[in-house]
Amino acid sequence: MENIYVLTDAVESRPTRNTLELLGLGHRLAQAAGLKLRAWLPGPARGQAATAVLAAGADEAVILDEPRLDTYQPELWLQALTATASAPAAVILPADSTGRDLAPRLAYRLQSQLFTDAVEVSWSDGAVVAKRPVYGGKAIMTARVAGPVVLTVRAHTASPLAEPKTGGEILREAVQIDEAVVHTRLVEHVEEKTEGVRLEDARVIVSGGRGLGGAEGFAELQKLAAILHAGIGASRGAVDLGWAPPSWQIGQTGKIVSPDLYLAIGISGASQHMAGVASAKTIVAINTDPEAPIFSYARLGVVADYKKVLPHLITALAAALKQ
Amino acid sequence: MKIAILLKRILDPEVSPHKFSLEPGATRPSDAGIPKVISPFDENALELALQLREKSPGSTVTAISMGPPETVEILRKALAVTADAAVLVQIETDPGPDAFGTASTLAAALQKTGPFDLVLAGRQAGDWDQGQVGSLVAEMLGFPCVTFVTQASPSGNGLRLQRESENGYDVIDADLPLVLTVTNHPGNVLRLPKVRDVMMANRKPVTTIAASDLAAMSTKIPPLEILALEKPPAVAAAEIVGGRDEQEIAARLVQKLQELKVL
Repeated sequence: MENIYVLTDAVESRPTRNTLELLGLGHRLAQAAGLKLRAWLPGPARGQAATAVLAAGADEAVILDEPRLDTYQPELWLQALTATASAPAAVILPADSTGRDLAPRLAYRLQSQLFTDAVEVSWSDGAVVAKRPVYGGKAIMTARVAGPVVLTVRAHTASPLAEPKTGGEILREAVQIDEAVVHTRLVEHVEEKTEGVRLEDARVIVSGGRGLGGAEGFAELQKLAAILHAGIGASRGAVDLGWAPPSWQIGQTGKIVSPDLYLAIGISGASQHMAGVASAKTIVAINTDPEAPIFSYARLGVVADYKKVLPHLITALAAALKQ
Repeated sequence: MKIAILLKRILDPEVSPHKFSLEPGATRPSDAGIPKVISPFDENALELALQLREKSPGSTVTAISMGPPETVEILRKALAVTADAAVLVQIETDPGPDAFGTASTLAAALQKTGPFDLVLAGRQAGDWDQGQVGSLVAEMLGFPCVTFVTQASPSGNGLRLQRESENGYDVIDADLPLVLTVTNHPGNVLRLPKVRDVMMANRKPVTTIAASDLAAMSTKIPPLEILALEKPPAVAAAEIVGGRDEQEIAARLVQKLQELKVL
């Protein structure tokens, strides 16, 4: 029988939020297709999450029992995943820096089709049907993919299972690793300091673009963010100008966020930026240009110079939040 | 170091959504009246190639693009920022979303015009946004691949790289030959050409290879079957919050936010 695979990640025994989403999606696809859902847990450290992975939707939790897989190394992971993919009908990876790194190469090695950055995946008439934004979000492509397929799926686009699934089996696979394939070596991982709230978890995000006019604009935004307990984001334009670090970039090629409130300040609203905030509940825009596309995405808009509005907004918010 | 940079000519991604039009049933947008440009991440990759040439004397940069004859325009731009050579892999229309097909043609072109020590490409093209071709070329050439690279310097016999990750970056040492896909960073914004180099670029030769003359690796993998290409659902325009002065605007905005219960 064919299998659907999900690549999982976990912190100790807890699967990540994204993993729970992918397992939820994988479970629904497997049910619709009458296939089995197998979850890969690369390395014994992730193996601690096997029970939780079964509850989150997998029929089998496959621990790739090789300590050298605990840390991400693409050549070794590709070797292990290719070797253990048994009759894959679909392989689901997260659309993050790991999944996007692996997907094309894994698809090539499995001689399967490839569909990246899916925002909707279903099973229809024996094939995967998936949607993804293209042209920076100006269009949505729907494609049918018959035969084995490797998919990357965007965060916040699938729901975890509402109720834990019972049963399932934990398997330990001894994987043969050949280090001769390694041509890239991790020297150091540098975490950028995020003061305050992580963008991915933020309920409120204050975000700035080229319209801020300079790096000092982000200092103003930080004051606003402090009052709102908000994360700080930036458009690609602001990052390219060196006003904000790359880890602040929000958009199709930056972080995908889903806050309750997104305050876009001096951001024009290019579709590739808006693709990163598609699941934000309420967008508020402050921009001097009344024609800026951001106003066709926002719920509320202010057409003004942010430098003049922000001090009053900070005062008014401080007063309102005190009550 | 022999460096190849893969460039794609695409519809200007900055074009406003109003000018972007889709005919019913079409599997590509209409390109009427929209300028075509080098895909933005390919510009970042081109800049990285030029920086590596400067850090590694004796290196050459060859720009390679696949498309119809007009694609030569973007190769001239690469020559104007002092790429050493340019190769057009000629096909009839701009490449669509068939990444396996595109990658196998480009891999064959790289084998014919190489061998190269380093192949660079943008992390994804700004039209189909798939992020597949660079990594697939690596597989087809049998090269290792590092994705989302922002910075690169020669180190020992290979390269020392910065790779962007979710909350920071990784420093990676990689052996040559190698494929890199590049993402944007303040340190790799493409330089402006000098006037003299623009004039020189018009006199530099561009090698043209017909894709049909290349022994492209055959792939059993069929292109995606596109069922629909549509505009996303329209959203209602924003309610503009006004007032006599900025203080009143701010107060009204806070009041609206409280009504929406998002504070």
